[in-house]
Amino acid sequence: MSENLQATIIKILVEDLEVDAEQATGDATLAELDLDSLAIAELVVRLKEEAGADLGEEESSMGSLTVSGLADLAVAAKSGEQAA
Amino acid sequence: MRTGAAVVTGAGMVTAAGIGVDETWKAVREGRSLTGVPDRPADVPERHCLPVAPFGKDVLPGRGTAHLDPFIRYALVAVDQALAESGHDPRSWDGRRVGVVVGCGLGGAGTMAAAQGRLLDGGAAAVSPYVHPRSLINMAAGTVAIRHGITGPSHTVVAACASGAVAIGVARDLLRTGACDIVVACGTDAGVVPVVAAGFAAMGALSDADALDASRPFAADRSGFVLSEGAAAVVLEREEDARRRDAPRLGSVLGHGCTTDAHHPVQPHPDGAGAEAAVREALADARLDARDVDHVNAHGTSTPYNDRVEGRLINRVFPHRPPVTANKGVLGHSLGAAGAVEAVLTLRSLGAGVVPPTAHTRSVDPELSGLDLVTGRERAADLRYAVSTSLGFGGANCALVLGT
Repeated sequence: MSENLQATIIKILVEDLEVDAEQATGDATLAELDLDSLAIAELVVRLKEEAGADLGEEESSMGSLTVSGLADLAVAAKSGEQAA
Repeated sequence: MRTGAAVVTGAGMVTAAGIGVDETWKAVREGRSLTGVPDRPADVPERHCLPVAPFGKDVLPGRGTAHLDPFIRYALVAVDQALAESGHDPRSWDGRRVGVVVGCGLGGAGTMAAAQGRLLDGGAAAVSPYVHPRSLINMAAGTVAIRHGITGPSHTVVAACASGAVAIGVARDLLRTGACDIVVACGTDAGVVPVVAAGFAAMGALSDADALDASRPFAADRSGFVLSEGAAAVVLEREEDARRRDAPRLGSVLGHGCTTDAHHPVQPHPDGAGAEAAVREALADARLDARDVDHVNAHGTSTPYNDRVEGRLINRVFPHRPPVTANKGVLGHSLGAAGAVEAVLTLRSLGAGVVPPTAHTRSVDPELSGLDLVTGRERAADLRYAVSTSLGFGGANCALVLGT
């Protein structure tokens, strides 16, 4: 599930946020990909739309996350919703 | 106050006829009927519209440009072209002495309409944080400034269908007052959007002829305008600066005049007094007499009302009957871009000694007898000075006097 979410995140990074496809890997942090707070907010909106993962108000602390770390967080957010 | 003409040292353009000034100039000289973009859903049923064909990173490189509202994308492409032609290198210029003036009528109407759809479907949380950065009406100017390191004034002038011409006039003034040494002026709009087209259709402003020859400026059988879109940009500099660096010289902006009808929200004043005053102010600004004008590039929207008022005004101000053309026959009406598009095409006319035909107009409105409208095919002429008129909703009138 985490792999699927990572693929979704990378698709959003490349298609919507115009990150170079070669740089958009699981190890890269969002800050390293030059995502500012607006770009991270966009990523959150798109992740909710495309994967149903609601990351809520956590945008401000996400810059240091890697892409794979964000995917894990999204998985946790989804399972949390399902549990609740 | 400094005086002297502003020299145009670079130009760029995106229209329904293609990317680049050459593409559009060629279509206009031929009086070609544009077919629009195949496979695009009908924007308003039974209405002929002329969108710009989609383009990618090969035309507009750079991260963060792909999803900007098209009005910003068109402006960026036109400005890139104009700066490249001018020979300026924005990486090395003193950006504090450079300004940008963008004329735009609508701003990001398509982006806002799409966001409204997402709001209705998914609530506020579904709305992208990029809605405003990608659509606010001053974001063309702001984005151009970021792309080229322009840190002097960035103005956006909103004067409906006169916006593009007003932008060039304001840019000229920024040179004349000494506020800037280089000014990029641009007109842009991306109005081929269903809700925009529907609004114009509801007013009765769009042609009801669903045919490739629906735009027929000054024709007896005209029925309204054809909605289109695009952008055009110019780089303006003072004469002495352009000469000093041996810059390309595409022509000059000699004068401009802006007036307001103060009459009706959308109808021009029936006697055309406001528009006439704009033309006379522009001539006075250029220190020319009406008889000096060799050519008029008319606003000529193909609406029954505009063309009658404007045609009469041209006959009144220019009794020596200079040849007249209206580029909207080919290009349709690109709203806030039109004044800049037509200014650049007028400069091409002056440079080439050619008045292009008014496409699709077979017989001129009999009420406008005396108007020397060039129809059918282009006409060679010795041209030194030309006037380009732009008249917008809100009673906004602007005339430019252009020279070789």
